Amino acid sequence: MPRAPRAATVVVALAGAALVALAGAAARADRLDEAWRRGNEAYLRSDYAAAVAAYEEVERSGISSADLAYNLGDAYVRKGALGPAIWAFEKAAALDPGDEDARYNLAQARKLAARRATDRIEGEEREPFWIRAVTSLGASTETWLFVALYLGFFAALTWRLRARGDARPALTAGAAVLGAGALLAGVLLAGRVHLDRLPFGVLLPDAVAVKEGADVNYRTSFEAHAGLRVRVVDQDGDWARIRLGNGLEGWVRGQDLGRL
Amino acid sequence: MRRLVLALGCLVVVAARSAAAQTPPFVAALDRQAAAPGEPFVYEVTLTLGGDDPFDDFRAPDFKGLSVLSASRFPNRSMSVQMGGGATRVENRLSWRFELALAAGAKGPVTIGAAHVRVGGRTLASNAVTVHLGAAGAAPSPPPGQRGGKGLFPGGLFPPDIFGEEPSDNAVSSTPGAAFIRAVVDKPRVFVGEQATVTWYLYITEPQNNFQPLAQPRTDGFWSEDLPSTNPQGRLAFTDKVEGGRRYQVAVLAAKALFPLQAGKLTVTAMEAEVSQADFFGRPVRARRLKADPLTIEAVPLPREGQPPGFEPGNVGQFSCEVATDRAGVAIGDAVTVTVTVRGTGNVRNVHVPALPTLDGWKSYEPKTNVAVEPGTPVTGTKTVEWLIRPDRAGKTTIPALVLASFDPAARRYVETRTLPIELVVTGEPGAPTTVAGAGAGAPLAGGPVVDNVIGQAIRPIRVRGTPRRDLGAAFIHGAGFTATVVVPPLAFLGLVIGGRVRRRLGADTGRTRRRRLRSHAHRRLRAAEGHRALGRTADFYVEIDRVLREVLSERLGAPAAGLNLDELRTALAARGLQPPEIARVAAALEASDQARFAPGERASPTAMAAALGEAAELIDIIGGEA
Repeated sequence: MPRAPRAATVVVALAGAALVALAGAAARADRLDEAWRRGNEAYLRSDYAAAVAAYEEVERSGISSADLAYNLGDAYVRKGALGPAIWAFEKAAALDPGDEDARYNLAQARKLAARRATDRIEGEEREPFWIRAVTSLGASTETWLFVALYLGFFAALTWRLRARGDARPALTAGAAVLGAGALLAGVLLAGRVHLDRLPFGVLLPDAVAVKEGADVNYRTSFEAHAGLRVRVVDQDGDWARIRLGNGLEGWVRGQDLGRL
Repeated sequence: MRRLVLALGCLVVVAARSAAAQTPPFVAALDRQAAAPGEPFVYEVTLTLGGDDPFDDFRAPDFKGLSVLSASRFPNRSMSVQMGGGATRVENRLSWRFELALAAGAKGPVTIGAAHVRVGGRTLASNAVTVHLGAAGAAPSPPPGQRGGKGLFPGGLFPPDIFGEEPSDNAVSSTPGAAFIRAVVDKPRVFVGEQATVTWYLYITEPQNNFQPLAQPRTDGFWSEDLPSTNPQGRLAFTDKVEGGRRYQVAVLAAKALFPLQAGKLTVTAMEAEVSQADFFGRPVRARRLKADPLTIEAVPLPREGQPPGFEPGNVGQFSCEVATDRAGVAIGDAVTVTVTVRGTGNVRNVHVPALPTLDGWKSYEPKTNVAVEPGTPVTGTKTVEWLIRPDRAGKTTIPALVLASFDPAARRYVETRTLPIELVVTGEPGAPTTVAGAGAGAPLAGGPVVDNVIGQAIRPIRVRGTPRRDLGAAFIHGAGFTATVVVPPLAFLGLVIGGRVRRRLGADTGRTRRRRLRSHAHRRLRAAEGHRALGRTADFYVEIDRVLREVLSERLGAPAAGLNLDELRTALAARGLQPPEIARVAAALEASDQARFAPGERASPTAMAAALGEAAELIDIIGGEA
């Protein structure tokens, strides 16, 4: 008759699985760090194509890093790919709005791109206030701020529950302040999530024929150039529908668009 | 007499048939009736034996005038068992196979004589067969007797599915059969310069091991663009298709985008290929040449009406055109790259890109052309021409709008695409260097020329950290951990609140809770009394009974019952709503308990104690009930 596994066996098995998972994660992190170093070394010896390849290898792993996007942007600029460079710097600035270097290099890349072509969007409207508010902080900052205020709010409520009568008013006030902060941060975070559903994108090639439909056979609606920041409002297979700042829409191939 | 003659006749016929039936069939056949010199064909001779008849001394025929490419050293054996009529018949089939070819210079038919074999002491001779001189690529024909699926080769030398039911002698298998190649054109009538896509499909009904292209189609009069293969890793990818009631496996062999270069009926010649199976050793056997029908595509000349001046005949398709410069301003002596890009659908390689006009005061160099084609249906791509131009004098220059005239075959009209003019500003003096880099801090050097050290705006350098700083929050917000962070705290807080309330409620001193506690306490006392009873401690048992009854009574009365005598107790209980019979039972139990503690007598018996315990339990329920 088969014996039921003992609790100790289960615990050992679980611990083993956790160790294997941790070892796998550590190995993966080592690989990414190695690719990152390889990219830096290639950049410093002016092998920008190799640097781009190494940075893209790190990026494909799905990690979110303003440093990575910044270095990738530098390598793209040196390689002469201004559209991808603008996309990378935009990404770095979105991840860390306080990153002065990223903002500076973004401006430089835009200046260089403007020497080739400039898209002047007639009737372009300023981004709505809520988008400016949401993007005034980085996604990471917003997340951690919300988590801290939210957990603090419930900690204060719990403490108040167990506190004596004379400590309760102070704890109630603290919980109210934390709750209001958490609410505000939550609104910003909800805006961020909503924004992620209609993300921004940057046109990558030097010139892109924006079509009236999701196929190359459609008529070209207008032409746009590298670095133009657009909203991505729809997706149809390999094609993305983009919207300019003045509301004009059209379709471009997904490969011609860098998502932010 | 007549009956006797008839009977003898029947006997002779039966005997003759029996003798004929006992002669094992020994038949030779070819896989085709005609072959070209050097073209391989197969000669096979088969002996069919009933049972395990011994055979030996096989002698191949004289292959005079033929080249023997391969020969069987041993016969190929197969066995069939037929059951019916209460008997089982076993048939062994032995085949000797030779791959032959007509010698070079053969001028007429060649007859292959009889092969011989000895069976049961008798020598059998096969039939002779003749191979005719034919054109190369002739497809095999089934041996006589195979047609209709009957004869001495029930299965035939080749599976009938492979080569079709009625293969023709000219052996072109593009017509529907069991294996053929079909060429399909999407548009048989196109304008000159318009794309027509031709696809060659292989149809087979039985898996083949090898496919060998023999002749590629010629596309004279077309500009041809090979379309990328959809077959994975160079292997044919088959899909099932039913056509004419027959299930085929179909694979795309090749596809080409063809752009007619001239008007008229243009021919795409046949594609030829060979399919074969592999024998045990992997050698190709049962090879079969297949040939598609040639195709004709009619190219219609472009309409004269509406043709813009300067139209180039290669500009057929849907194109856009743009001009860009790598800078808007330039110093004298520096160069500007002007890029003219034509992109769109059509034969991009053949598109004529508008030329950059001569600019006054500028020198231009030989342009550089790049073409990037994306083959497909339709073919799309980009053609870029880069001019390097250098100004000779300062001032403003405008690159005028360039015009690309093209014919759109879909809309059947001519289209003109015009680029925007570009203005270039030239600054500086002729021959004066504009920048001198690498001269230090830019301060004038004593006694030397003034160095104008222009430090351009560059990008800030990369970050060389050991590991990139990771923005975990950006990923955390989309993970399950964030959901848990949001959901768990309010649930935990709610649990704490509810738990506290439940605890308070359970701890409150209400009548119900008091009764619940008392009942629980009384049960503990009864269990203790049960323990005393089991150990024979009579006094302790009755003390416990008395105590539990008085505790329950105290609860019922709302005052201690210990100080009350029985009469007072009866009165108090009656005031509390207890019925007289129940009051009498309570009084009797207390009295009996008192007596038993001091004078146990017969109350010390286990039976009496059990009865007292039961009575106490019942009374507790009665007294403890709602008042």
